Amino acid sequence: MSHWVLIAEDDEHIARLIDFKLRKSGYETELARNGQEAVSRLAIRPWSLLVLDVMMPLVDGWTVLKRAREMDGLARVPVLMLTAKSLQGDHSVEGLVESRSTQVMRKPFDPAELSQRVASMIEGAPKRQGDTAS
Amino acid sequence: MTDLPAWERDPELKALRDEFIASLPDRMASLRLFPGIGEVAPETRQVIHRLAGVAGSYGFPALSRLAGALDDVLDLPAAGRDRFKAGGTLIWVLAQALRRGVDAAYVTRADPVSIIEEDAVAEAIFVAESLASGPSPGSS
Repeated sequence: MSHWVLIAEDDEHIARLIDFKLRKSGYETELARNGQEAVSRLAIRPWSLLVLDVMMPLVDGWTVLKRAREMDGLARVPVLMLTAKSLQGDHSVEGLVESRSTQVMRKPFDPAELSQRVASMIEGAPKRQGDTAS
Repeated sequence: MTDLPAWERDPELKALRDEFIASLPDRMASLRLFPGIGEVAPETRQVIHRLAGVAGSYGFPALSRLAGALDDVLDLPAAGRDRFKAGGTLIWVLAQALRRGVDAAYVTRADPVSIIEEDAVAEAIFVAESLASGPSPGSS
């Protein structure tokens, strides 16, 4: 079964690097260039994981995450948030990163570590209805 | 932080890195609009923030650290920033170093480690990182 990953990242060069590493690891990917585009794509596939940049134009990554969590099919989907800033002391994100299904990775990241993190999050995710063991 | 030989082993990865390096003059053009004093335009802020996030992933961790330090200082409230005696100098040192760093990375295709090791730059990065990780300058 193929796993689809939605990558929402506004820097073209980092987006392409993530896309390259995840495709190389066997995932199917789609790119969204900003948060608004990401929100519009949430419902189009049964995503296995979302990679969301925190600071994006139009709609930020936290808003995309909230929208995803409000959707039946994405309420528990693993989400990897990418940020160049420390979230320490940022009370606005309390409650959003407490669950195991939402993790944060600091930028800049090692591309190999990112693909390993994605793999472990997808493997550790609760099975969705309709998924079959491979 | 990245396995540098991997860039050479994988032609697709090398092409991506080449494209990132080729993007540096455009980023530099925005940085020239901010000499390190006065107001910084939102577009330039975005360039600095993005450089902090992307450069290290392409094998330029020193450039990321430099941009991140400047980004951190620019995040401080202007009033709080002014309370530090070195406030203006700090931003100026980091802005100049970042411009030199981007130039050096483009020309040499190597991480500008020697620039962040210069005494004044190293001290500015240390102060910036301390301010970013410490209590808000507005609180006491």
